[in-house]
Amino acid sequence: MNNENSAKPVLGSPKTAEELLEIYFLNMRSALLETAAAMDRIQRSENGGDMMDDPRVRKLNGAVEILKSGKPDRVEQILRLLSDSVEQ
Amino acid sequence: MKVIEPHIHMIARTTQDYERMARMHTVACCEPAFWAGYDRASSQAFYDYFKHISEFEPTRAAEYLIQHYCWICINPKEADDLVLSREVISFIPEFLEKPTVLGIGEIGLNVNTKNEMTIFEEQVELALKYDQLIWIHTPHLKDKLKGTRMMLDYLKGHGKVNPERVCFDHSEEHTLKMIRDAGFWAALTIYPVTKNSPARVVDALEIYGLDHMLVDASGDWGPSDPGTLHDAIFEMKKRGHEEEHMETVFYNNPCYFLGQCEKFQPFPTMPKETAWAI
Repeated sequence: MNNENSAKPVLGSPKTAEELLEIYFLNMRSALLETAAAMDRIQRSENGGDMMDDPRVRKLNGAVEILKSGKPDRVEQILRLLSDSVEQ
Repeated sequence: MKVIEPHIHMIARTTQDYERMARMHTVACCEPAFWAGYDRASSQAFYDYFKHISEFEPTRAAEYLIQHYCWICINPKEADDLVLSREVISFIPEFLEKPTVLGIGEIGLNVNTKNEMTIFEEQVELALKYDQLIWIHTPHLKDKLKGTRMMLDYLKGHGKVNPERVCFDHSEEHTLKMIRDAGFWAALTIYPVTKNSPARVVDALEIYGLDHMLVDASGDWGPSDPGTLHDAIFEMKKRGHEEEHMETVFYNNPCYFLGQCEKFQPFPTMPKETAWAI
């Protein structure tokens, strides 16, 4: 079975990085804007400032740090951040 | 290219979905037993449900030239009631003899309770006793990582479970590697919000390859859409993948896994050793 990690994709993408950015840039932009808009919507509502300290919002802010880190496997790291501990 | 939908709850879908699936070249679909959106009042309700998915639903699908198969079990959510679960388990063997029942599923965990785990283990034993394939539901959202680990550890330590005959469904980036490393089949579910997107599914195929991978839309009574399976096929096309690889994932791989049950009729277009050689 092929079990290599994402550093060495088994199948790989036939497209170049530049082509992939061309395909996905608008979707990526849209997803970020939707998240930002939802944060703004929550914050400007009654008690919205308090809600910015909600554990769920804090985790989303943590996810942004992962996004900014420049390291690979961002999705896996974010999913782990959003998961209950396996030790519980 | 023919397509097989490995996981869909047609009892919760309209006839128009059968029609859409037929138009999208779906030739077979599989319906695991699941939670109805409410807790059933008695074990008799499960009996009626099992009759529906093993007797009536195949006739509904046949109108659209789709072969309908199903899996039988007590689902993870209602498995927290040990008494009810054991009543249901007592009549599951009767259904395993039906011509369209492929095995025990979708068993698993919901919020990872001790009772859920007990019934999961008892249904694994039932599958082994009757030499059945196993289809596993991994929990939603924050419970998925822990629940997947719990079931994997149990099955790996069991000693009599052949991972080739077990599929872990609803896998995502944080659970996929552990499932594959243990030799099990992994299925990726596409949901509009709470599971994978078509793009993430194709990412996983690019990273891990084609072997032991299934993709499903897991359509049910919640936000879901059988058409997303075909969105993933289009995503592969958009990225320039070969049609042969699409056929491997969306038709041949279901044949390789589900075909381990002799009742499953569709046959692969090529041997898996050829299909999986990249």
